[in-house]
Amino acid sequence: MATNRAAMPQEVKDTRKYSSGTLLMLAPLVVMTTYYYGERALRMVLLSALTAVITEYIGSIFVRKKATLADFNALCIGIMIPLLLPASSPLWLALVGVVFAIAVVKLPFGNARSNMFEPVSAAIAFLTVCSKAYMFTYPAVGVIKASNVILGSDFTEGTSLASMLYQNNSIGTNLISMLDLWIGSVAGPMGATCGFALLAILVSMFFSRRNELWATMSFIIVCAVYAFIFPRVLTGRLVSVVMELSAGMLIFAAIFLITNPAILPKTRNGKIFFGVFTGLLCMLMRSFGVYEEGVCFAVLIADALSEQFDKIHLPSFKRTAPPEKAPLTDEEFERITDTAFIDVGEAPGAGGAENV
Amino acid sequence: MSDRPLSETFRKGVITNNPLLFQIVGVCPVVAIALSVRTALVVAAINAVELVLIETLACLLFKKIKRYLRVLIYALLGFAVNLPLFILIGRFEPEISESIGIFLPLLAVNSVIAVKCETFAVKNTFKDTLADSFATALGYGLVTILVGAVREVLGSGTFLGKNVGLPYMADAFLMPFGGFMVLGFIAAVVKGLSAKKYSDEVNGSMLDTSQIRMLHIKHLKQLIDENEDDDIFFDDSVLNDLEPKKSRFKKKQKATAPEQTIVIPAVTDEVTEKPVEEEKTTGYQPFADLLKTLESHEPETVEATEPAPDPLELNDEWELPPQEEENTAEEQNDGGDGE
Repeated sequence: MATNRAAMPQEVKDTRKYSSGTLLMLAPLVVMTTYYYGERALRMVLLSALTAVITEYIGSIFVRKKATLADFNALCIGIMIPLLLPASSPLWLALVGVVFAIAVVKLPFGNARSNMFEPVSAAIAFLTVCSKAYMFTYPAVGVIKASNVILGSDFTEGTSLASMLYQNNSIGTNLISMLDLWIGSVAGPMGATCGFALLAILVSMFFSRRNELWATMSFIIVCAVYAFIFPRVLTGRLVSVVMELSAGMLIFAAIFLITNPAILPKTRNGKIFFGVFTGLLCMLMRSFGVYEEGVCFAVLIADALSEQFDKIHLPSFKRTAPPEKAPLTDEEFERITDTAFIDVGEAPGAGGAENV
Repeated sequence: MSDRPLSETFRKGVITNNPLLFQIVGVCPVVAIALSVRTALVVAAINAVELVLIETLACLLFKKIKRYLRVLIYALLGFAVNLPLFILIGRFEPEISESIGIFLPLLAVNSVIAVKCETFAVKNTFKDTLADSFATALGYGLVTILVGAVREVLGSGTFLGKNVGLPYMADAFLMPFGGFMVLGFIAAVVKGLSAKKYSDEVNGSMLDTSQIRMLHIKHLKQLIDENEDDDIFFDDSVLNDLEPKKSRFKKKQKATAPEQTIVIPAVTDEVTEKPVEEEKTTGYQPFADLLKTLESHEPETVEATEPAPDPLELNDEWELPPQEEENTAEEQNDGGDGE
């Protein structure tokens, strides 16, 4: 019995392995963030990670679940959220987001392997709704200082690609070079601007996460096709595609948010349709939404329908007849009907035994 | 129609059968209107008046009326009660009336009224119905005011119009999704506190979100059974997620089970008094055990007896036949079933 207590459950081991891979993939983004925005950005990332671990530990007590800090999922959430914020955002904004992601979204509704909504997307959406000014005001790259915040006198605001596209600013797009896009020298979320790093992570997914790549690539392809067909700038369709894919947190969401195993459909077809649906919704929100970045809202809506994508079947052209379905047992049928209906109240008496 | 104690009725109305926290009805006015304590008080007061009046009327007058007509009458009565209240609030509190907007008249068709009338009022006594209406109104009102207070403090930074002095205010709490979040957490806290003491009542009326997950697992297992040859998953580790810890789902018995050899015990032939060769059968025989049981217990042979005389048939001497039928029937019952 003593040896069994020390053994880690298989679920935690699997999640730890996955989270370790995620942390490895986030490392180059943290390095580029520190390079461009200084030690303040690194401090924000580390403090968020620590807050995430503490929140998970305390929150697990309230929801009466065993804290699974060993699976490193809280660390991943704590690192991802500040990477999606502007470098000039106050520190408490990242901490509020982290606490919301873990205490409100992750712990009450599931765990690292099964959840109703993706915690990081929910936190970014919450912060976007609550603090639109903080979320979409980016500092100019290279000018930010360690103590420079949005209210500082020496703050220099930069223009992000997402805001240019949102305002249909075709002239501003000519001022940004392709090299700046690739090396991340453009205003935007801290960890979502370096094209080289994100491309390298995408390539690494071919070797380590090929299963999730279906959702990622279908998402990116749909976004690219939409940007090609409906450009928001007048500088050409190819430029529109490059800008849309480089703007905001689209690629970051494609790599890290959509592929979260807690919400990703399990079947191949489900993953593909999930990516297609999320991509389409993301581009529609960017084009017609209130905010200049809508990928997090698109991910949340798709999460709500995640299990339905597993039911989508492509037609089979095999000659063999499909196997016969085994009939449901009484126990399973009762279980299904019990789960399908909400009991509003019993109906005693002779007036009629019908529930509303 | 039992006479429940008043304390039990109030406890059920306020806690375990709370329409907002456990039955999840009448949520729309709360998430849309209860943005502050003042508006929440208005909602709670209007709902209380409507609920008490309509539920008592339903108990007294509507028990004999058809169900589909009753629901229409509830809506009409709701408008009849709501309209004077709407005019009064518009006259004395125009700011609140303007801030609430269209949701104030919509309180006339609040689903709480229909649910409580149909599930309780038309099936119980007047005394129980009156107590239940007050209890439900109290429970609904308390939760509404609590939600309004939380949203006002966190969203506007005020309480009853006075500045609280919070460093940060989240506008999200003033939106409907913020109302749903606050309501959900209040429900979770109340359920957690009352689960131990009133476990039977609480567990029966709560929506368990883990059941959604189990349904998904069930659908995926069905997918596996239907697509044995298709590669719908990328790796087998996904299947580990589909196996619940308590092995609640048992693998379905397939139609083609592996072959099994069934040995029937030796039976001696009556004529030659030699043992009959053992018969070996192959193939799936689901009823093998039953067959063995039947063969070992052969039915007893009943000797043919003379048919019982027809009681309606009279003999030549015009005498009634002897009453043998009842005795033979009793003998057969004793020797046949043995139960």
